[in-house]
Amino acid sequence: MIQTNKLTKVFRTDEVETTALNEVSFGVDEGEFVAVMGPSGCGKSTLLNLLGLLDNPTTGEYYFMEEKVSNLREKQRAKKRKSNIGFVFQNFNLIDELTVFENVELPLIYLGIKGSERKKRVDDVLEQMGMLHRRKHYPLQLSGGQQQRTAVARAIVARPKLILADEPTGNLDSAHGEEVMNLLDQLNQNGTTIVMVTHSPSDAEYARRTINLFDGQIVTENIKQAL
Amino acid sequence: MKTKTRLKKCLRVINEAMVEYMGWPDNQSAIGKKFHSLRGQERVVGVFKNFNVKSLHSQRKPFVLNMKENDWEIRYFAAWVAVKYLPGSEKEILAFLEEKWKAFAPSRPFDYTFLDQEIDKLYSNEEKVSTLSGILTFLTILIAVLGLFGLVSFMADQRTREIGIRRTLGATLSNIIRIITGEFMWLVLIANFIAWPAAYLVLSNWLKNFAYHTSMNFWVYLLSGSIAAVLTLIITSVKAYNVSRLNPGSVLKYE
Ligand SMILES: Nc1ncnc2c1ncn2[C@@H]1O[C@H](COP(=O)(O)OP(=O)(O)OP(=O)(O)O)[C@@H](O)[C@H]1O
Ligand SMILES: [Mg+2]
Repeated sequence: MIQTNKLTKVFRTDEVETTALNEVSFGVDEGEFVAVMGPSGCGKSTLLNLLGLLDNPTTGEYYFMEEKVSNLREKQRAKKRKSNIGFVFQNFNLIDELTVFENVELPLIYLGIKGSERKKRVDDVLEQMGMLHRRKHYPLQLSGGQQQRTAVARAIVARPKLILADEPTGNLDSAHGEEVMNLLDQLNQNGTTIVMVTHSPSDAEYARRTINLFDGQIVTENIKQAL
Repeated sequence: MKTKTRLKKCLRVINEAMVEYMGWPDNQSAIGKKFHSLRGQERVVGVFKNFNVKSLHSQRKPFVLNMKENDWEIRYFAAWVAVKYLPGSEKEILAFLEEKWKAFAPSRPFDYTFLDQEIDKLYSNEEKVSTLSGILTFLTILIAVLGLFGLVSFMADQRTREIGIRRTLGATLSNIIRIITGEFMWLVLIANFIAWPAAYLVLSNWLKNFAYHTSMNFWVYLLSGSIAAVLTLIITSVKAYNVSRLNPGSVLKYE
């Protein structure tokens, strides 16, 4: 599903040049659950943004679903993104002015799905996340765990093949964190590919494979032995 | 013009407004009627159509023309002579007129003006108002555009995160432009609904200065509203485009 070849990202700001990713080559098969770990600033989020087509690499190639996407224009990236990739962020990234329902509805609006169909699918996924009773609430009226469940609902409502999660439990206490991890695990069981950045070794336990990044490069890869 | 050829003393030609003012039923019946003035008995020998004696600021009023028949009267009262000439022949005409004037009225200085220039002078105020309001309009629009650009920039910056989220979820550039623009179009609409009655009041008050004036056309309001809308559209689109060009990844990163 994912294949990168010497993926490199260099940020230039005011004469400072940061090589956030340095020739990263790796692959993710369909149905996998991969964790990305490493110290702060090693390039984990940068990698996830490139995989999620939120940004283009400086050099190197990226193949997504057997198609070269490393040099697509933003418009084409947006098209690929909205129908194939769901995002979950550490800070939830819900829109505060919209209700839970409206937040979850957004990806479907941008996919051009009709109102009645949207309502059905949003309600379904809110039910699945145990958030249906909060559909009229605004994000700031919710606990962190509820906000993240809303964000997960939004990430999966368009039924993406790939979910990219950047420290999804980073802002949650352990109970809520475990809840979200169980949700992701369930999605993976049902065939969704997941790439997740995390600092927590216990979260990484859910993944079948862990990639360790250091200074923009992959240093080790651990594959969990089948039980 | 209807006149009787037989002249008598104190003969007068009056306009239709005067006929009405005296309460005579029609022009025909006015002829031969007498009325009193400071000079004594006057007799109407003709009626002419109304014309604007003064500038368009004032209404057409009752008007009486004095007919002079004796030489001494003409010498005594006549100060101005109106001459109609073919355009382009000013020089020869003036020379000719001066010669004649000096022959007939040697004791009076020869002076002249052109009627079209005199009439222009009647409206020089309006000319000035027109240029001035043109300049002021331009300045007002400039200030409004600058203000609008500031406001749009401010709002777009405040919503950078929201825009980043929406783009992550697949919103295209045109989706974003529509969101930002839509909000400001509402403001433009509301502003127009406030501005139209105000402009109407001011304008109709100003037009009251003229006894004869054009009517206000509704399309003037539509036009100015449309110009405001188009300017807003351009400004918001430029700003929305700038914000949208940032990669959503880098937008969401820093908060
Ligand atoms: N938009 C940007 N402009 C300039 N530099 C950037 C940008 N994004 C990331 N960087 C730099 O690239 C490097 C990698 O950043 P990245 O966010 O990928 O790290 P990370 O592994 O996700 O860290 P953390 O665990 O703290 O989230 C850092 O040195 C960071 O300062
Ligand atoms: Mg990060």
